Amino acid sequence: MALGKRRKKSERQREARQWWEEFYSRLVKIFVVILGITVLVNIIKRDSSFSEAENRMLAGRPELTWESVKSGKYMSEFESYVSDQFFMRNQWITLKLYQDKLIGKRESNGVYLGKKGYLMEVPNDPDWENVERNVKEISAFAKRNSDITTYMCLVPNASYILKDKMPYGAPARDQAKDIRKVHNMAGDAVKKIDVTAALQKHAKEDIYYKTDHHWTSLGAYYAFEKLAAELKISNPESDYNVYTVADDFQGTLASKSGYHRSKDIVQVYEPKKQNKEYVVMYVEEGEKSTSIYDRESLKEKDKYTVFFGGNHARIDISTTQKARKNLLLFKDSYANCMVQFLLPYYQNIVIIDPRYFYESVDNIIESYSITDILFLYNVDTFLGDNSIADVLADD
Amino acid sequence: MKSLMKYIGVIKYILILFLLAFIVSLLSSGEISDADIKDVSKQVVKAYGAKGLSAADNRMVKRLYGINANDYEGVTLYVSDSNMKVEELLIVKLKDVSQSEAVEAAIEGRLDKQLESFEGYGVEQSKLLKDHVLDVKGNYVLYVVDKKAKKADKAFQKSL
Amino acid sequence: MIFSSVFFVYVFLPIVLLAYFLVPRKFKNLVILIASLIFYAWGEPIYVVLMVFSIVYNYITGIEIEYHRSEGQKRRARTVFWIAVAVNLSVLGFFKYYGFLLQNLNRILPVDIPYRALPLPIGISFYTFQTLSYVIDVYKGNVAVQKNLIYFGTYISMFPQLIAGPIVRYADVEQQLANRRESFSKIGNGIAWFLRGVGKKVLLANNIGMAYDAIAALPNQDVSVLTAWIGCAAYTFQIYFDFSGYSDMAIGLGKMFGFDFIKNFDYPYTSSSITEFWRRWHMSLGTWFREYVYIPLGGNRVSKGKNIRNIFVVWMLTGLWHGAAWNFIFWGLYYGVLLFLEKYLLKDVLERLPGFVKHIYTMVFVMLGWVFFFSPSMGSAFRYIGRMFGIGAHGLVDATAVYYLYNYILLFVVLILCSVPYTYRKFTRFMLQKKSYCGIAVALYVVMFVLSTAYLVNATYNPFLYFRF
Repeated sequence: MALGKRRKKSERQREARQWWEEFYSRLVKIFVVILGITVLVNIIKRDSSFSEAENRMLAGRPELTWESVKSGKYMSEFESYVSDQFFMRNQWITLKLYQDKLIGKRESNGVYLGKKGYLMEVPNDPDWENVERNVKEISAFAKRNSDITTYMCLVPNASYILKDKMPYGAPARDQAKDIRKVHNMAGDAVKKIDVTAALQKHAKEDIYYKTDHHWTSLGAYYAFEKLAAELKISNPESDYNVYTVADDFQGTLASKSGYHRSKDIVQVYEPKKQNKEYVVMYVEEGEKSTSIYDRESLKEKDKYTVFFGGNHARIDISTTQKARKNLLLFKDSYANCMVQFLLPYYQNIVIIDPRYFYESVDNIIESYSITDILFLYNVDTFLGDNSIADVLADD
Repeated sequence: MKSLMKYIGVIKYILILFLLAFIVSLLSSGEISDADIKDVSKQVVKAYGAKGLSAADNRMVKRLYGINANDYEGVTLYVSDSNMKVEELLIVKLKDVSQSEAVEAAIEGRLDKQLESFEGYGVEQSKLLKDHVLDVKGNYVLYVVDKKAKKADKAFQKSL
Repeated sequence: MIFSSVFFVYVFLPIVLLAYFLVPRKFKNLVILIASLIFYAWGEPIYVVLMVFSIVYNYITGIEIEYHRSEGQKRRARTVFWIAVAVNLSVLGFFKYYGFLLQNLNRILPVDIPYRALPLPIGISFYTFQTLSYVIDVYKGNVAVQKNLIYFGTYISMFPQLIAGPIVRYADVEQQLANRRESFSKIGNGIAWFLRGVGKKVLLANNIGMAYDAIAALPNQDVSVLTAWIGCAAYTFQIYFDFSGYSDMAIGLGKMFGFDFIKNFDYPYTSSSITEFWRRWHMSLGTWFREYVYIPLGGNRVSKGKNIRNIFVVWMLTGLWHGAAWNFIFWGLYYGVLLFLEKYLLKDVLERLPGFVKHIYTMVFVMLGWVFFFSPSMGSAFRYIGRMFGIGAHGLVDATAVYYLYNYILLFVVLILCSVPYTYRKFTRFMLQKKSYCGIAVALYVVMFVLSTAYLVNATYNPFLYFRF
């Protein structure tokens, strides 16, 4: 009996040993095959220089020099080269996203995966020191130009307005509170325009892109209704021809998060009655155009750049408007789709993007006899900006 | 064996001396160069062409980098003719080596700001910015954003 | 270079494996030595000088000690030995603690001494301890001197355990350096270890690390009690799977080249006392301190007073070894106090407690310990602990806490399952039932490898926690 038991035990041990041997030898073979094939494919595969999905240039093979080896730069560049050019990179990334999804993550690379296909940027923590500096300069600027009315309009982002589409409980900033704080900082010299309520009223409509961090033309339109009243635009247009110029837009949030599951439509608005002729001047580039829309951009990945072809340091627009109203607009990219609404009511609009503009603005005010100044920003950009103060500084 | 051991003992002390020299060389970050910043700038510009760039004044230095040019022995800044381009060249000659950290921080600040401005839509600009060269050699600092940044760096090192 | 990168797995490793198995036995150690130096030079190339110095210097020291002893010059041997200890510790001390020292001196002294903090040479804490183990054991006569410079260099620089351990004592691999056999089974075993390690690091540690990072970045006033505990738990799992994953990869790589390293972790989170925790956590470091500090100081075979002194010396050094900052020193002493209490006061009390209470007690103190570990300063550590107990917290539970719990609950379950031996034991027992299950087991490893690769390719997020040490 005892003998039988022992034999049985040694039998079991032998089987287990055999099992492990079998397991290890198979594992070695398959590991070698996987490594071998991967290495070979990576060697054979041709390098690509651009990733459409990630919207960035991929690293190329670095140049081998003594200096770059000594400083370690060659090595780090080579590592990013290998991972950027890994075969089927996009599929690997998709696989990773599926895994994230599977374990229940509602966030990918700083982007919330909201309900109904909405992607929303996780708002950054404000850099209050810079904000204070900027706002101080803005109100000093307004005081300096007291004969001109200075307006400020901060547009809340999707993560605040579309609260019900956020993943439950996801941390987001109370942007209404942030806006109030900035308004208090600005003092009385600046007239504040708050479009939060106007946007909240239409939160059920497509006022933000699902896949991009911008608002849609529709969102801008609802804000414009409020703006027009404050900017004292008499008889603003309410009747527009709406053209859908793209229906397969996948914006920056799709690239950033890697989720390409929804598509957006891009629309442009043309006033039916008050349509004006105009000329757009890209000052830095020295180019002229008769349209604020850039058709070429529709062929590219970032279709939001249909408005002006993207960001520019300075754009001057002259229209056939007779009334002597001239607008100086300081802005970020949110304003790009707002200009189509503002355009008919001003003789000149000078658009400055302080992130790219380094010259003095004082002579612009004089030479265009500016009558209105508007700071139009989305909250997230405004609270992270560090360029406004420098442009406005009196020196 | 005995003589061999003596020999080995000597090697050991040479090794320790060598290590000390290595540490000293790590601590003293490069040598002080007397080269005139004008010459250095000229040679760097000549080496890589600095296409589409033009010289900017000290006000621009202050504006872009937030540093006061008068605090340093000399500053050369070339910026792109168009603000939609990111090519840039900055050479700073320090008054003393301890200033290098502040300058590096200023350059990194500028770089971050630029990266942020062009992130998401300026694909080529972003790539150029990522491939920038920031080189601190003793009392000289070089910062280049350009396709040929490496060439500029080589000329920079040679000119000191 | 770190193991969990596309470059290491799909470029460096294949080349080294190929070279290693192609060359004749004579040159195998040389291949490892060269690969190790390249591996080391990859991140911070100039520091390879330091590595080469360490190899040659200690190699010579070993020969000298041996020679003096064989000539009967005990005092000379002792002098050489102490000089070597001093030199090794000075190098470590200089590169690791010089900045910290001056920073604190500047705080005390009226003058401000300018200094340039040097980047920390990777793995210096690990390989310095390895060289010390060699020098000490040669001096004590526990091991024979290594006359082959290449073998010695291979031991010091061996890339699998170079940057994050386990700290392999020379005595443990002395034989293996000269004779070891690679076999199919051993390589397979190594691959299994390596893949498990990659999975732990990439699939588990990195993912839960994101929860910790997100919570750590929250503004303080938005952190509720539950959020603080989730953050701390996330870090607790992250550091374990990060570090033990890395150790597993090291052990696996060692096995591929025929080496057997001792294991570094033994399910530490199943411990039922702090004493047990430290027998299961980073075992090679604990062994090192016991062998080369605690016991030489007299261990526990001395008076109670001296024993207490020994405990605190060892734990202060353990803390300091982890980093040049007050947090780490405090963290070390924190464990010194806990172990002292367990040994002299709580022993009987603990024994009488039911099992689950002991587990809870251990985990709570381990988690509180990690707060000192992850906090940037002492002040923020205490504030964090305060929030864990409701002081300055945003209520007990809030929407943010629910969000993170909901996001990571599944991962937490997996992490808990992987922290106990039961799961893996059950898995193997099940698989061993039938021969045909063998294929399934292999397939599961392959799937894990593929899934990990997806993360590696996408790895903008791949930090390694133990890099700083």
